Amino acid sequence: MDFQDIARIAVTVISFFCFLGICAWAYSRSSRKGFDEAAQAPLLDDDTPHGPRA
Amino acid sequence: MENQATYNYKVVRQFAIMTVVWGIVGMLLGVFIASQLVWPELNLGQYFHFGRLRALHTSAVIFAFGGCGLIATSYYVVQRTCNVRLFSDGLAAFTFWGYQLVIVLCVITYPLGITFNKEYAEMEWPIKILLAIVWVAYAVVFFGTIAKRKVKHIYVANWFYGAFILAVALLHIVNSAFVPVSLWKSYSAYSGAVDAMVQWWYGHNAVGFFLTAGFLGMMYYFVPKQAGRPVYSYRLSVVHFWALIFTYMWAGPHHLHYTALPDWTQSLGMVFSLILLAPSWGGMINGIMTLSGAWHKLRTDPILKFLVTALSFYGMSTFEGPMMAIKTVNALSHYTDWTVGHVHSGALGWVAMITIGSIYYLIPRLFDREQMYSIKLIEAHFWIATLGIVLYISSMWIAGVTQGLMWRAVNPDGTLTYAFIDAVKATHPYYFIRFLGGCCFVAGMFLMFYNVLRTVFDGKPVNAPIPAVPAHA
Repeated sequence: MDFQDIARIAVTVISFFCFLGICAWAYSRSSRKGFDEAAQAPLLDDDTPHGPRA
Repeated sequence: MENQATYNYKVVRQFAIMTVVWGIVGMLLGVFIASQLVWPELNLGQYFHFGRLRALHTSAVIFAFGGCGLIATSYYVVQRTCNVRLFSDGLAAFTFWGYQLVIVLCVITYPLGITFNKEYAEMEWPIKILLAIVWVAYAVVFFGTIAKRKVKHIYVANWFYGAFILAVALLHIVNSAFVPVSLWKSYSAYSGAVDAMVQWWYGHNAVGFFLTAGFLGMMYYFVPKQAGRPVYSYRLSVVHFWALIFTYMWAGPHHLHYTALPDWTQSLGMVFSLILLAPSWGGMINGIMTLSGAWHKLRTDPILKFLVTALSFYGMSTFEGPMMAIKTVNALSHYTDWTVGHVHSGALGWVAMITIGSIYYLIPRLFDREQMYSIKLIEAHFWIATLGIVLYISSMWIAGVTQGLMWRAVNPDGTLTYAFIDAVKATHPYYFIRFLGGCCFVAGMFLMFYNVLRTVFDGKPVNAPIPAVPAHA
């Protein structure tokens, strides 16, 4: 196998494990609180105009 | 000093209004070329025949209507979720006028027959360069705004918008590599099967990052806002994002099944297209489940109807797509109107409906009104648009499968059962039904235009003040 093949395989495998790592991180207990806050953030931002007719 | 305390809604307003305008232009063109297929006499002269106007239709609806919608909403979302004004007002204005100039140049050059001859990338090289500059400016404004944000976390919608902006820059620049021969003629820097693969790497990733990731950004902001509920699962949205990023880039070869492309590349494209079903449906479920606890709102809120129906069509077309990418299915569907039906279930059902819903959300907020001029008109728009889509995609399914079956039918002695014209005749009635569906959809856009104009004239343009403290600090 030449270098290109090895590089291609390596990138694919590394990407796959990287993705598994992201999944584990996303579903870990420690990131739960931050994510819950992040999900609420846009709802706490009141963007409805309370203009002339309000 | 006042500038420091408000959001830049001006550029959002400009893009939002042009979304509706270009939507009408692009969809009217679609209805016109659909009628050319029903009544060929309508191919008027060299400038207005199907071959030239079809490219104008696809570019107008994808890049003018969809693009303006994406830029308008991304500028709105990035400001509201980062709690800061856009990075640069001047550069933002440049992206608006530059982008409109690109569109107008396409409107002029395509009917003249000036074309780079690559699907969804027909603009010639001077326009390509202008677009690249405008796009880089857009990226600077967007990421510059993220860089100066006052909120630590970057909300998921911005991740999708960011991926859309980066990927489209990459796709446009790589696929546009050209060798100019004159001011209005250039050729692709690639040749043969490589050129075809680069084109469909571009083409399918335009679907993946322009028509999917960008509009998912819309979905992750406007569905929770309109439903008044947080995203169903924020952790799923993170996995959804990275799954799309890791897999989409590989799906392009399914556009080149049974061509000169190496067989292993075709199979790889097919497998990755099938894998794509998982992240697509993960995202759809995440969007639809956001409504749990708020389902009753669907009865009374037509904007929410638009958004949720968009997600349903997204689920449908991302199921249909992987199926059509299977080589044996593709042997039947390829080059038929089934493909056209599939594209429009995504383009009208997903892209247009999520955009329309988001624009209805935005317009009153940009013009200091509590809601649109008429909710009833939105409701009417929703039903006429849905009827149009159903007519369109069901007629194209039937036409496509009919064509596929007739083309491959052979007699016992090995000769073809049908001449090509037989299949054309068989599909003619369905072309008329498709034309009716298109008319419905564009009629809905006219209702929207009227509703938007009334809202604009009742209200006044405002730049909302930036809340002093980040809302969730």
